[in-house]
Amino acid sequence: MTAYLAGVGLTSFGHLPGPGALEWQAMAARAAMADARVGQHDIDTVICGYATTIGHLMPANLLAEYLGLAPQVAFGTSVGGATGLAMIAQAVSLIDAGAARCVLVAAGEDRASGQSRDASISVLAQVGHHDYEVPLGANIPAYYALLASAYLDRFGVDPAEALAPLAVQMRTHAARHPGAQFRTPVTADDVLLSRIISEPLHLLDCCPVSDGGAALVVTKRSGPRSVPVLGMGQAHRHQHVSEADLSDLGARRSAFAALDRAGTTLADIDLAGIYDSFTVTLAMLLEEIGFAEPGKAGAFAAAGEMDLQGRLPTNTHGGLLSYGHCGVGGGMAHLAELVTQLRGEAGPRQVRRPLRRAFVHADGGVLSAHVSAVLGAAGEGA
Amino acid sequence: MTAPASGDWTEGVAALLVSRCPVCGHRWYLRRTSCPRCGGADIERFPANGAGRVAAVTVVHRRALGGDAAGIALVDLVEGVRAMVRCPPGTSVGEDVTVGVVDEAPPGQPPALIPAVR
Repeated sequence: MTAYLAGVGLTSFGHLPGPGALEWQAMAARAAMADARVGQHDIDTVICGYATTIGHLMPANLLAEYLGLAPQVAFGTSVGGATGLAMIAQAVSLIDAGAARCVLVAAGEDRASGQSRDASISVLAQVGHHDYEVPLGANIPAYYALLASAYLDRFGVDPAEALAPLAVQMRTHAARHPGAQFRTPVTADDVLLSRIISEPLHLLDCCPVSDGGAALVVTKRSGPRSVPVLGMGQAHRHQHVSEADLSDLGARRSAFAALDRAGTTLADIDLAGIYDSFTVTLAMLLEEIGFAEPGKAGAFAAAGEMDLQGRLPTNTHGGLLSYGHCGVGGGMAHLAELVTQLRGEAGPRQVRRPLRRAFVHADGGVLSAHVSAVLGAAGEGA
Repeated sequence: MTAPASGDWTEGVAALLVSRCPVCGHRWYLRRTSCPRCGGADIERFPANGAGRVAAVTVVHRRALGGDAAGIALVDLVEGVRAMVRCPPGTSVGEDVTVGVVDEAPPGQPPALIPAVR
């Protein structure tokens, strides 16, 4: 592949009333463009994620006009939590095909302050089946709690060992990032004693609803701080949890398509960004992809393997669980963090060893849509 | 087995139906007008026996539209399909259950049919 991540923009996440969805997108986009040192006239393509608080039919056109851009190509994208990486995949494909040279990929939303929490939960529940699932009173935490119950039963593990350590590790990471929504360290007991949301998931097993934005500039041309996209993969095997094949959700297929395209293997990955809408999401993805042994993701985290000195530093910004989740931008924060780490610009949370290969994965729906990418070292191929 | 059915609980009929493709034999639960495996469009629907085993279960403590805690399970029906149903709190993964359709509507209100563990 011949595309580069030349600029990143990631706002703070949290309950931050004031800006609307479009303004969050614009803040992130301006930061990414400044980081990439590109101007309005350099952007030939704009791809923008949906925002539930505005539900606009043409989010990319809306953002392009607001920023004074006049791209040759503009379109919005909806793949749930996988939207951010799906947009990057489209940007890379357009560049590979010679149809674009400089693509702005953006997302942002006032998801926390632009609507009530009940409204947000109700909107998100609609990824469930309109006729067969939603009427039962199921919501997003319930869909993932169902997965969690099957996961805990299959491996004969309990939430204290299998899930809580993942929430603890994400909070440890977030404590080192000034933009994170939640920075106060927590213990496994704090997770287990937090309010029950949908059994077996407690409040601290669930990501928050946040305001924020994220953007990247993807270019054909490299530069000393540019990070190459070496390979991408996707898999889309179900929409509804009722039809999910729990033994083959698509994460591994997506990951290995990306690894094969990049000509690399799991063993070569130095750090990762893995979608973590719930603790069980992170556990199931780490295991299906193959970073952790089946049933052992919690133990992997408890042993410190996902911390800065561990075998696979993961979500070093704090992930969705603690950096926060503003929708499409939440799934792009993992990618923004990997670029920052690969450039060696992560400050006090910088992984202190050479970083040559990074892996990022997102899922949308109920582990329904999967998109993965393998990134190379900053300046590689420049 | 292939008794004609006018609809299932999502269509206002107190029935839990399984769909089957007479061409390839594939069975599924979520209503469709063609077979997701072979594309066949001549779909048969028949009532589920109701017997099944719990594959996953949760109790939702904060429902999207308000209300009390609700048990929800994925049940593998003996016909070979998986259905999301209501269940009593305390239901466990691996438990053998019987599923039927219940009317949740308060007296005097229009029916609100929901599949539930009996």
